[in-house]
Amino acid sequence: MTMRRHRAPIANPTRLGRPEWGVLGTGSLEPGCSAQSAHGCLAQRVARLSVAVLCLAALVARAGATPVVTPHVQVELVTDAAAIAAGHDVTIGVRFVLEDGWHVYWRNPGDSGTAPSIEWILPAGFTAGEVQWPTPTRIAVGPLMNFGYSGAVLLPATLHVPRDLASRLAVGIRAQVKWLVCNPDECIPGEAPLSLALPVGMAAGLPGTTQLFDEVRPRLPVTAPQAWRLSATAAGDTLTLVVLSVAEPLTPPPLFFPYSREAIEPAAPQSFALERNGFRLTLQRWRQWTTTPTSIDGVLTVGARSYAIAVPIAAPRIRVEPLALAFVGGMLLNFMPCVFPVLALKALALLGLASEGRRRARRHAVVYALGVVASFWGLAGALLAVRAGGAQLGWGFQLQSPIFVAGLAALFFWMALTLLGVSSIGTSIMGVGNKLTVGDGYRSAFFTGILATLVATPCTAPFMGTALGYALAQPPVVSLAVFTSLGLGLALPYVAVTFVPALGPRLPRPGPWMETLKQLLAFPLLATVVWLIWVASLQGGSAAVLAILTALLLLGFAAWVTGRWAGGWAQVAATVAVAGALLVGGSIAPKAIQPPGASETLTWEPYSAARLEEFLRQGRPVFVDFTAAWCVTCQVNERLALETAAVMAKMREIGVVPVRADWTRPNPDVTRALQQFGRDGVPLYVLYSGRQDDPPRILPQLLTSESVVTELEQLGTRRRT
Amino acid sequence: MKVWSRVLVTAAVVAASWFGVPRGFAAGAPRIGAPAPEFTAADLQGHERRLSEFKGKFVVLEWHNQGCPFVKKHYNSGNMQRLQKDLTGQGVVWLTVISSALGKQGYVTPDEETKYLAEKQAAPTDVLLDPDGTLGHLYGAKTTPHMFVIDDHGVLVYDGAIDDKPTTDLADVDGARNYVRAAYEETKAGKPVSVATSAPYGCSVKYKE
Repeated sequence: MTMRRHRAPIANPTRLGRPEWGVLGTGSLEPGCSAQSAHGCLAQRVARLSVAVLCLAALVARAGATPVVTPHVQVELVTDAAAIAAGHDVTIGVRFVLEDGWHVYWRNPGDSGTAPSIEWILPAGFTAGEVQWPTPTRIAVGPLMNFGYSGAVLLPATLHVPRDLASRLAVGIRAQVKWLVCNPDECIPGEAPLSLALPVGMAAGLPGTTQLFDEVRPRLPVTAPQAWRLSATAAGDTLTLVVLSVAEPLTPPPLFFPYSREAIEPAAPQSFALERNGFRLTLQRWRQWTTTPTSIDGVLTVGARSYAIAVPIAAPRIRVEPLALAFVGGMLLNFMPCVFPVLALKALALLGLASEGRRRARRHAVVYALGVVASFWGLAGALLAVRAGGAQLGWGFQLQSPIFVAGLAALFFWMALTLLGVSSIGTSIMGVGNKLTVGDGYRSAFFTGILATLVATPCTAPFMGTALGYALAQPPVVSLAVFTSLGLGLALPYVAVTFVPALGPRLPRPGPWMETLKQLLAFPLLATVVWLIWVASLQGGSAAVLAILTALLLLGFAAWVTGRWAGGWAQVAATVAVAGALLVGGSIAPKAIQPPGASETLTWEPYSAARLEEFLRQGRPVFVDFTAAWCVTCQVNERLALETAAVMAKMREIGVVPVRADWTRPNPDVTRALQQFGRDGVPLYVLYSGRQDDPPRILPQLLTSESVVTELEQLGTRRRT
Repeated sequence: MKVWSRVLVTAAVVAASWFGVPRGFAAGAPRIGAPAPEFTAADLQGHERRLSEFKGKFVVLEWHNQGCPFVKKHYNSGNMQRLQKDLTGQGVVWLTVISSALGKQGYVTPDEETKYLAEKQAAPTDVLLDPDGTLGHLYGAKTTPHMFVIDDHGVLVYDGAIDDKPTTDLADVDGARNYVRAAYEETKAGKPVSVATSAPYGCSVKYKE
């Protein structure tokens, strides 16, 4: 009988050294049971039967082969059938049983490590199918991430049995297996020849090993449901995977495992967002990427199942509505009081040009439009840079710093004063604008464009919020398109007037309405200042509030002085006041800030991973509230849902331990927990039933008292059953 | 309320861009074709070495951990030493970087490393000790080995694995395509690097927690 080496297609197919076979197997089988010896048996027809009986007895006694014991891992070859029949496929597999804290790798090992390799050595006519890799888990190793298995794992493959088994009594299945077993501190390569003898014809199941295969089956990825609509886009350092028409539960949040090591950054959080009837997963591309991939191939976990997906990457699709909105918004910017006077003058001047100047005026208008668009691109660039930083640190990070909160309050306060006409800084900017834009060179036209954008921002920032918010959540290309639309919108009326002079008289006249509008806009800004001071009060207590209010007072004084008098001494006084404001405001920075004086009605346990573990070990149900003082949604949820009488009563009734994970100030423990749920921001509400087998339940970001009570009731019912 | 908070955060971000607060956040790990980031690190004699002092020369950075089986593959086979001698013989500066934290695998004192170099007959230009992981994080080094090639203009031309056989088998050294050698030779010949990035393979760098 000839032996044929069959190499299973695996993730890491580069093998040079062919293993040399010494003594077959690892002492698991009597010599007479191996396929090679069976060949010798052929000549001895009488002896054969008794050998076969011995073989079967040995097999049944061992229910497979004896594991090879190596440091930190046991490896064995197993099958789900006690015997094989001609033409009937069986499943074989390599099983790793790992010591606590050690892991082996998935086909894509992640940042480091390497996948196990299996080289099948099969009798003639037998072939082995591809190794099926159960869905791995994310294993963090310092700042890096591995994809792999801890505990135990079975890598199954189909064994195709030929139609003709001649008159064999048993066949020997062998595999040369290599692996790398690691813990966070070290890695140990291992290698072992494994073998398994299968008798022919007996069809009794092997209960022990059949169960192993039954256990692994739900962990094997299946084809994605027909109903799903999958799409993917790549933009900059981001890959976005959108899955719609999803009926499956979305808790825990979906995770993606790419087949290629060169697709994503394994350690980056995968941010998950709900879409109307599905979800969006934002992945960080492989840091070293040089070419744009054509598809996202890998395994996606949704709920308890995992699915093999291959999604072609489409060029980023740009929806028209936001662009149209941005365009209209840009046009409206023209009529903001900061912009209109400058442009109106300019436009009227152009209208006065004689017909021979018309062509020149048109060219000017185009250059002006370029100036506007260029400055919007500059703004977009800055925003994208901030976003890249924000994505690294988790949204809202800036608001964790009390000095940042104070600075923001001061900025908004100053802007409000400008809008109310107290300060003259805004008008002096416009003055500069006028100076630079005077003249008829292309340079002045370009600068008029830039200045139109610049002077527009102070009185429109609150209004552009929607467009900016949208742009922030989109891939860079879309963000850029939105900003371009805004710029084109801003540039259009001026350009239109130069091209169609008849439009000129139809423009609304500058008038008192502009001043009213401008002053009205101050109040949303002042409301923001109030909110920021409240945030600071939670971060820094009354001392911070006093410091910020004093700084605002000094700023107010400076604004009034510069608005009232234009002389040099006024500027000196204003400068002194502003410096004082900076000094007072800055004083809150280095101080250790007192924790908020909490007067909670529920006794919230402060979060720590160890404490949570402890409660869960005791089998107690736990509700974790991931929150921050600067997170408005969190505050609203707490006031309107969590701290209502109904919810509190229900929690006490069921014995739920309320745990609060406060992210107001940076807390690595909380950040890690958020990342475990694929989040990079608050709010997040997680309900643990206290039963080991129950996955934690993630509540929606917007809570109502009723929805929380319903969740608690369901939990109570589950615990009773 | 959610929309309002989003508007506020957005406004905060716009304001942040005016303040210039986040400048530098986006400066992540190095990219191919861009200048390699400048660094300062101590060598075995305690001398501060800088990337800029090697201006005008090719520089190879090799992340190293003598306990790692992937590193052993290249040192026990003599593959790494051969490459070190070949390249340094042509004027290339070879810097071996050890980012293992104190108490972690691969952490060495200068004496231990000197002994190791002699025993293995290794020939790097210098060895940089980076137990804080600063240099490792600056370059985004993930594994041992993880190789970087910087050309004589200070531009990063290669970032990735040492070769195309991601195993611990000594037998896989022969016949492997060495990406570092190829990147050096191609750049030297004025040609574009055919494989400028690859997923590095090896043990995780044992960074400080």
